[in-house]
Amino acid sequence: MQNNTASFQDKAELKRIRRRLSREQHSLTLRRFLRNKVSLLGTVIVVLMLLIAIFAPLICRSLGVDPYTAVVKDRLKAPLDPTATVRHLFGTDNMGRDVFARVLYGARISMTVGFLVGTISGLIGMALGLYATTSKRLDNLLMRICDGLKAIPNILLAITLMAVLGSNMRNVIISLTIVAIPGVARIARSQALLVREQTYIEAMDAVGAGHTRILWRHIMPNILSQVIVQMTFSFASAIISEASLSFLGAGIPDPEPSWGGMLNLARGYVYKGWWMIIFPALFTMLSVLGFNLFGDGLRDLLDPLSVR
Amino acid sequence: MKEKILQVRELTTSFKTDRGMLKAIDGVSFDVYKGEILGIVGESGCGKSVTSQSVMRLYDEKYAVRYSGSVKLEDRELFEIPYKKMQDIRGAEISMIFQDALSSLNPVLRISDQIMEPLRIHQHMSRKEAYQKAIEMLRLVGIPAPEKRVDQYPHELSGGMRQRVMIAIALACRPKLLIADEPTTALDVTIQAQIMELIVELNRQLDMGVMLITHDLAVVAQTCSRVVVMYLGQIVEEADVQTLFAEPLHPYTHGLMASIPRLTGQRSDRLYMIPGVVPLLNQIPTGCRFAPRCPYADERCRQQMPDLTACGAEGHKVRCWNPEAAAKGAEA
Repeated sequence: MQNNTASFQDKAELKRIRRRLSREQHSLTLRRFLRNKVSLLGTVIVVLMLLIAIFAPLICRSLGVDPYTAVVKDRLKAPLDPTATVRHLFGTDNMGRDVFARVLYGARISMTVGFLVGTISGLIGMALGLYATTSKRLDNLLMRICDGLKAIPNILLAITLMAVLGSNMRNVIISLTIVAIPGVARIARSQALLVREQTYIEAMDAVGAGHTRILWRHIMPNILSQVIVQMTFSFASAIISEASLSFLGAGIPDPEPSWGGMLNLARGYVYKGWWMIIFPALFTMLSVLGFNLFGDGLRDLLDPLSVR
Repeated sequence: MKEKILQVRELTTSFKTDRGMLKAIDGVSFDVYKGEILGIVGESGCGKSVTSQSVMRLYDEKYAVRYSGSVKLEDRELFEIPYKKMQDIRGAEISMIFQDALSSLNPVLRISDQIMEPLRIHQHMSRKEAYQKAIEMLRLVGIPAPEKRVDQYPHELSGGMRQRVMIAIALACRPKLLIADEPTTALDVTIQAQIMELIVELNRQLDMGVMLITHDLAVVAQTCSRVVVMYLGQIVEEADVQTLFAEPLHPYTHGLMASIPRLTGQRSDRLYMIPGVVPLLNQIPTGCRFAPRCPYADERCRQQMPDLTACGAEGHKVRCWNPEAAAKGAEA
C-alpha cells in the first residue's frame, strides 16, 4: 500500500519535471534567438514599428497634431520651433503639416503594405512552389514565368504595373505582391522537391493519401519555416519598394502620408527644411534594417546548418 | 488449401530510361496465402523491392514505368483498376513498411497525426475516434505508455519504436496483405529480432498475408513458411522453407547459403562469396541469367534460358538446367 502511494508520488513528480523540461526547451529556443544581439536589435525595431503603426492615431491625438491639416502660418517650421502655434516634434512641411504625425501615419501605410505583400506573396508563392513539384510540365511553365518576372528589375516591373493599374494603395499591394511571388515560389519549390523525395512521403503514398493531401498536410509543414523567413524579407523589400514607388510618384498619391511621397515632396526643400527629408528617410531605413535583421535571426534559428 | 490473397502472374515491370525500356523484373509469378509469410530473397538489385512496389502500383505510370502481367488481390485484378482508385486499396487492403524506419516518419507531424492518416482517409473516422484508435494501435504493436507516445514527435522515439509506429500505421485499417520491405535493415540486431517477432505475432493474430522482402536468410529461416529466391528480376527457386534449406537446388541459392558466416568452423577459412556482381539491367546475359557467375554452367546454360520447373519435393520449383549437378557440387 505504502509502496503504491510512493510510486504515485513519483509519477506526479516525474510529470512535473517533464512539463518543466518542455517549458525550458521552448524558452531556450527563444533565448537563443534573443541572445544574438543583432537579431535582438531587429526584433526590437520590428516591434517598435508595429506599435507605432498601431498607435499612431492615439499618439498624434495626445500631442494635438494631425497628418492632414495644413496650417499655412506654420509652413516650414523647424523641429520644436517656439514660434509655431503647436509644438512640432519633427517640424512642419512646405504646407504646414506636422512631419511627426505624417511619419507615424506613414508607418501605418508601410507596415500594411509590407504585411499584406509579405503574407499574400508568401501564400501564393508557396502554393505555386508546391504545385510546381507535381508535374514536369507545370513546373516548367511556372518556373519560366517566374524567370521572366525576375529578369525585369523589380522597380521597373512595379512601375509598369502601377501605370497599368493606377495609383492607389490597393494597386501598390497588388503590384508588389506580383513582384515578390517568384522569390517565394522558387524557395518553396526547391524545398518541396527535397521533401518530396523523402521516405515518409513515399510512405504516405503507400497509405493511400491523395495528391492534395500529401502536398498540403505532409510536404507543406516541412517547408513552412523557409517560406516564413522569405516572407520577412519580402516584407522588408515591400517597404522599400513602396517608398520608391511613392517617391517616383507612381505609388500612393500625396495627401496620404507615405514615407516615399514625403521624400519626393522634400526634394525641393533640402536646404530650407532638412527635417522634411531626414525623418521619413530615417524611418524607412530603420524599418527595412529591422526586418532584415529579424529575418536573418529567424533563418539562423530555423536552419540547423547555420548554427555556430 | 488456404485462401489465396494475392496472385501474381507473369509480372513484368519496365522502366523508361534514356537507353530505352529496361526490364527490372521479368515474368514473376507467385502467390500469397492468408496467414502465411512469404519470403522474397536475393541480392541487392535483383528486383525484390520493384516487385513489391509494382504490386502496390507505386511508380509513376505516366512517365516512368510500364507493367504487364496480372496482379490479383483476392478476385480483383489490380492492373485493371484505374490509377486513381488504387488509392483506396493502398493502406486499406495492401500496406507496406519500408526499410528505413528512421526516415519513414514525417519529422514535423505528431505520431498521432500519422497513424490517424489511413483511418481518416479510408474509414472516414472523426479525429476523436481516430485518435483513440491510434492509441489502440500503438498498444497492439507493443509500445509502452501509448497515451503519452501518441502525442510525441518522431525524433523523441528510438529506431525500434519508430518501426513499430510504422507497423501501426500500416496495420491501422487491417489490411489483407502486408508488404514488409526489409523492415529490419536499419535496426540493430536485438531490435531486429523484436520487430520480426512482432511481425510474426501480428501475422498470426490478424490472419493476414505477409510478403517479407529481405536479404537475410536467417530471418527467412525463422519467420517464413515459403520462400521465393530472385535473381536479376526473375524467380530462380521457390520452395517451402524446410525444403529450401534442406535441399536447395539452384546454384544461386547454394551460393547465398554458403555466404552465411558460421559460428563453428575455422576462423581462418575465408567467407564464401558468389563470384562477380549482379549485372546491370542493360547487360542481361543471354541464356540463364546466372550462368556468368555459376560454377557449373555449360554451353546450354549460356545459350538457352531454363524455365521455372517443378523438381523434387512438392511445390519446389527451380530455374536451372542441371539442378542435380548443383546439389552434388555443393555437397562436395
